[in-house]
Amino acid sequence: MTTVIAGAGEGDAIRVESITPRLLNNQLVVSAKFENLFSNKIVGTIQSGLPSIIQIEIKLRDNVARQLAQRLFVRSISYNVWENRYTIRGDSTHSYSNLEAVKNASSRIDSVVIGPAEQLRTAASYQLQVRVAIIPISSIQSKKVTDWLLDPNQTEEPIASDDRAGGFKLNLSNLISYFVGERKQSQYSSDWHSSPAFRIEDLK
Amino acid sequence: MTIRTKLIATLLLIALLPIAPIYFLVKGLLHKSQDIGFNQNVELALEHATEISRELYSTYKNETLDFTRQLAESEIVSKLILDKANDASKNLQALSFMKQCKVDVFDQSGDLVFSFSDAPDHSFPPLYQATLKSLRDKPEADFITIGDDPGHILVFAPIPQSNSRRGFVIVTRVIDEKFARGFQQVVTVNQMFKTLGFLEEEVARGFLLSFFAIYAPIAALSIGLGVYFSRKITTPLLLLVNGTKKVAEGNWDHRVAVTSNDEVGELVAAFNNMIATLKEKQDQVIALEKMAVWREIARVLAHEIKNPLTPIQLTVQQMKDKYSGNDEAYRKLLVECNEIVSDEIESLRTLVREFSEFARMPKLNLALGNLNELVEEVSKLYANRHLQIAIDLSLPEFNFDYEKMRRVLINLIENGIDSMKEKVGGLLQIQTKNENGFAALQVTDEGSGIPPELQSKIFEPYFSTKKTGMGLGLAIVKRIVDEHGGRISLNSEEGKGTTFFIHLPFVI
Repeated sequence: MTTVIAGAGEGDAIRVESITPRLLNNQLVVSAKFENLFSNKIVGTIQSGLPSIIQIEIKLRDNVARQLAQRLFVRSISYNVWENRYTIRGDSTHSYSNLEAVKNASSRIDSVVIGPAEQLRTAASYQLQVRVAIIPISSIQSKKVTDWLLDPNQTEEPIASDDRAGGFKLNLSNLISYFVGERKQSQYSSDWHSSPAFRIEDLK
Repeated sequence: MTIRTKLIATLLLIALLPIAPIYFLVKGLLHKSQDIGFNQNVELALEHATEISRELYSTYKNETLDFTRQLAESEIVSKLILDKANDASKNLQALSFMKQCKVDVFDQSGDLVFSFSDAPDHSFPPLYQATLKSLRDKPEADFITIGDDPGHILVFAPIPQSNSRRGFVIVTRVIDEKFARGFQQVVTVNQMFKTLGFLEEEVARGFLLSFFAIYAPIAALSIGLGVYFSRKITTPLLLLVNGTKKVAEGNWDHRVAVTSNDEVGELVAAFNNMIATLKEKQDQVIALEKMAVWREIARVLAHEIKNPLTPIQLTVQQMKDKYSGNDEAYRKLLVECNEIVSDEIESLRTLVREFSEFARMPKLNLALGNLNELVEEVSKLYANRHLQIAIDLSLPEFNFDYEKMRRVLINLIENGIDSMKEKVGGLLQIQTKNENGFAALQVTDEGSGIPPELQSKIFEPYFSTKKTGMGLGLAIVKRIVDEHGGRISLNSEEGKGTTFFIHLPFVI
C-alpha cells in the first residue's frame, strides 16, 4: 500500500521543471529536471541512514493522448553514516561525499531512452509526460518502525481469569500494529508534467 | 413507547454516550504524547547525538588510519616483506600499540605474509580475495567499506617502495562493544524518529482504531446483553399484560408460563396464584348463587306441591269410602286407584321433604366431637358391605355438627355403593387423617367413576348420574361441608372408582 501525498510536505511542492526530448542514435530520449525533491525532512531522513527511493514515470502520448510508451525509472539514495558517503544506485552506482552533489545528480535524468525513433511517424505530434516521486520511507521500514515502536510495550492484557484454561490475553501491541503496520510507504509525488508537443522531424 | 424500547434505548445511550468524550480524550492524549515524543528538541538532540557519534567514530577512524600508515611505512614491515623473517613478528607486536586490533600484512601478489591479532578470541570480519585484489594496486591509504557495521574499522595502507609496491597492510580495529552498540542505537533511534515523522498521523490513527476495535465489541456485547436482558424482563411482562387481557375477557383458566426464578418469575407466579384464587372464589360465589336459587326453587316447589297433597289424598279416600254401589269391578278400581294415588302422594311427600330440607337447611349445631367415632358408628350400619376403615388416632376432637356430618358420610357411602352396583365385591374405604390443621375424611369406592366432563357439575343440585333420586345428595353434602368452612373435592377415574376428599378445619 502506498500513500501518495502531493508535494514534499513542507515548503514548495515537488515539480518537474523541464522535459527535453531529443534524438540520440535514432532513439527518442528524454532529459528532465526536477525541483524541490529534497525537503529538509527528506534530507534529514536520508542523513539518518535510511535509503530513499526516487521514482520517475515517463509516458509518451500521441496527439490524441493515446499512450504509446511508458518507462519507469528508479533510483535509490543511501547514506553511510559512519563513512559519510552517499550512494546513488540506478542503472549504475555512484558515490558522493557531499549532499549538494547528490541533489544535483538526483534532480535530473539524462537521455533516458523512450524507444526507437523509426517507430514514430516523423510528421506526427507527440508529447512526453513525466512525474517524479520520492519515497523516503519504505514499507519495510514502516513495519520495522511500527514493531520498534510497539515492542517496548508488549503489553498483554488478561481478559479472562488466568486461572481458567480458556482465558485469553489481548496483545495490545499486535492489535495496534494491525492497524498501523500495514506495510505502508509514504510517497511524495509531483503532478504529471507535460512537454510541449513535438514532432520527430523537429528533433532532427 | 414500550418498556422494552425504553430499556434498549437507555442501554444504547449508556453504551454509546461515552464514545464522544472518550474519543476526544484518547485523541488528546495521543497528540499530547506525540507532542512530547516528536518535538523538535528531541529531533535536534537525536541529530546531535548522531553527529557526536559520527565525530567520535571519525576520530577512531583517523587514529586507525594514522596507525596503519605508520605501520606500512615502518622498517619492520618492509623487512618482514623482504625477508619474511619470523623474528620480525616480535618487533611488529612491539609496534602494535593499538589495542583490540588485527594486523594483516600482504605481499605484492595479495598473499598473506603475516597476521597478528591483539584480540585472539574476537571474530573479525573476513577479508575476501576480491577485496584484496582490488586493493593491490591502490596507491593511497583508505578505509575499506564494511557496510553499516560500526563495530569494526578496516584500513588499508600500501607499503611504500621507491620503484614498485611491496605489498600492503590491513588493520582491522575493534570498536569497544559498548561504543559500537551505542553508535548503532543512536543511528537506529534517529532513523526510527525520522520514520515516525512520516507515520505520525498513521500511528495516531492506528491507536484510535485499536481503541475502537476494543471498545466496539465491548459496546456491542453490552448492547446485546442489554437487549437480551430487557427481553428477558419485558417478555414475561408482556405475557402478563396478555394474560390480564384474557382473564378480563373471561378466560379464568389462562395461566402465564413462569420462565425464570427471579422477581419477574415471582410476579408471574403470584399473578397465576391470584387468578387461581379469584377463580376459586368466583366458582364459590357462582355455586352459592346457584345454591340460593335452587333453594328458593325448592322452597316454592315444596310449598306449592305440599299444600294440595292432603286434599287430593282425602278426596280420593272419600271417593273410595263413599261409593255405595254394587259394581264390584268399579269398587276394585277405586281401591286400586286410591292405592296408586296414595303411593304417589307419599312419593311426592318424600320429594317435598327433601326439597324442604334442602331449602331450609337448619343452622349447624356445633359440638366437640370425634370424627373417628362417627366413622366407626356409621360403618356399623354397613356391616354387610365390603367396607374398610382406616382411622388416624392422632385426629383430635373438634367442633362439628355430628348429625350433619353423619348424613354427609352416609350420603357418600350410599353414593359409593350405588356406583358399585354392577361390580361384585367392590371395596369401599373410609379413611380419616390429621392433615396440617384439618380433619381429612376420604371415601373411596371402586365403582364406575365419574366422567371428567361431569366432575365439575357433580355438586350442583338436581344433577345426578343415577336413574333414581333427585340429585340433591351431593349438593347437600357440599353445603354441609361449606357451612363447616371446609372443602370437598374428588378424584375419579372412569372404570376404576372415585375418592371424595373432605377437609374440615379444626377451628371454624
